[in-house]
Amino acid sequence: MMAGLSASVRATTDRVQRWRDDRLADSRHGDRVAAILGIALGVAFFVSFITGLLSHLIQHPPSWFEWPARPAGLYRVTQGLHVATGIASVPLLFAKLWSVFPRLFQWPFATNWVHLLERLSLVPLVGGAIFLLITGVANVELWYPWLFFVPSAHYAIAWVTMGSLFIHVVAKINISRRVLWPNALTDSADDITDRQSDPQGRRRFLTVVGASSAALVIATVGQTVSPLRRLSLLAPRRPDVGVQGFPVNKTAIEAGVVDTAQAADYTVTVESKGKVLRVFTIDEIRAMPTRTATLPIACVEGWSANRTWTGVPLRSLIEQAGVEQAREVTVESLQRGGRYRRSIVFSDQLGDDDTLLALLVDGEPLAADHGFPIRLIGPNRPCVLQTKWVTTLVIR
Amino acid sequence: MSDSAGISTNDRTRNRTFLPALVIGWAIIAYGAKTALDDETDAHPFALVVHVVAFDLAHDLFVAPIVLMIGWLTGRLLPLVARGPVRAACAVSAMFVIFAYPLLHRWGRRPTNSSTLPLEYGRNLVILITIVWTMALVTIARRVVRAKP
Repeated sequence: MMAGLSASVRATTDRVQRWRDDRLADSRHGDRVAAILGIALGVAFFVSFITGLLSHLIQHPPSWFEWPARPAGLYRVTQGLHVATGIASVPLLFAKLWSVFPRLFQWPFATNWVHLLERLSLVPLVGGAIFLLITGVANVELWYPWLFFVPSAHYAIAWVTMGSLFIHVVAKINISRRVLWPNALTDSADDITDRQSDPQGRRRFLTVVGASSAALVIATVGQTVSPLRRLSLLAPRRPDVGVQGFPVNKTAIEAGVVDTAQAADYTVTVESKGKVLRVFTIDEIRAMPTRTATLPIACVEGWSANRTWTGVPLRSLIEQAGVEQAREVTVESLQRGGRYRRSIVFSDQLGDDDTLLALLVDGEPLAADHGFPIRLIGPNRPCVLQTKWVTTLVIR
Repeated sequence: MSDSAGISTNDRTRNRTFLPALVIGWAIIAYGAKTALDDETDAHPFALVVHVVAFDLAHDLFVAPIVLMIGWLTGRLLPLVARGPVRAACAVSAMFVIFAYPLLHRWGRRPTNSSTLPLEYGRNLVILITIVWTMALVTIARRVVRAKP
């Protein structure tokens, strides 16, 4: 009976190996396609990783890092790029997995322990890459069905994926070089013939993959590239849709500030080392000299919109409170809880005249959802750090 | 191919250069794991491991077999001239549907925030899929016309 069983197992594995060999003979499952899609994905993941790391550093700055105030639209570009390259990777990743899937059935599983470790590194690579794209897309679509907080999870898994991607790139760099740029003198004939087998099928496949990638980007990128907004049929946000003509992240109702923000005796308190330096009434602030600046509001979720803001420079308000020089200012909101109820403005942004406590947008008083009566708006800051309903400034 | 499945003709030289890469790569992976453990309350490290492995298995045991089955079915049912365009159109349509699925259900729509998911995603998805299938049909028609003597 055992002999019969082992014979049927062998017959099955032989059949799987034959299927695998048939597939690998097809140019779309060949080394060249794997290499081209691998390079495209490698570049896209690297760009996403760097821009994501940057966004993480801006929101959780270590002592050695300071994000400058200029250029004012830099964050809008890096975060727009982060989301666009992530979305472009969706078709690339699934095409790549389809293309290399037959190789999963390679037998023996590994030829030695280094090869075994290399193959095991594919578990965090594939699982991590799918994880990043799914959680990233769900986050952009404002859908959070997870137990974990997406930015924290996305950040940790990004390191895991990049570590395994590094291993994969080193493992495959030689074969990719040989099939894409073969050297007739040193490379085997096999490598060079792969280049010629069914180039039309391969080209068609890669064209469809590239076109889907481009189509998905165009279908969403209008949430930050305003001229393309009408083409972006699947954009979760539109830069021109929302109260006062642009999007809102947290509404006044969600923040629980509907009544308190409208209070006639609204004040902004300036504190330092636990002592109150000065309390400004909102009317006092409205009477101060204002400044108008056109600045983007740019969200981590990839949407952005340019607006014209009018308000009192943050620096002049703290000077009025009697502070000559501040290293950093923590801007606190009226909202009671929430991760983003306060944000810190560091010295470079503090020194910028366009870092405003805004009272108006496009010449109108801010709507409740945009932070009425007063909000922070500074150049080159993620919108979660553009604190709304400002009530306290803590100076250090 | 000598290296098509990751096996080099000369394993020993390959291992010498590859070992440092393995060490560096797994050190970066370990840093990711440490980041998750340090941020336990937000990152839920155990849930992360479960999700990463589940996504791997979901692809290999569920998505890939379905795709293979559709490939096999289209191979049996369709003439050669239509196979490629129909398969491509199926794949691209599936991609749009999966991407748009949470938008169609408006899971991310917040009742007090009119700027969240403001578009008619159902209609827009139909437009995109119509474009995809029109392109597939035009490709098939062109091939048929060209094939005629």
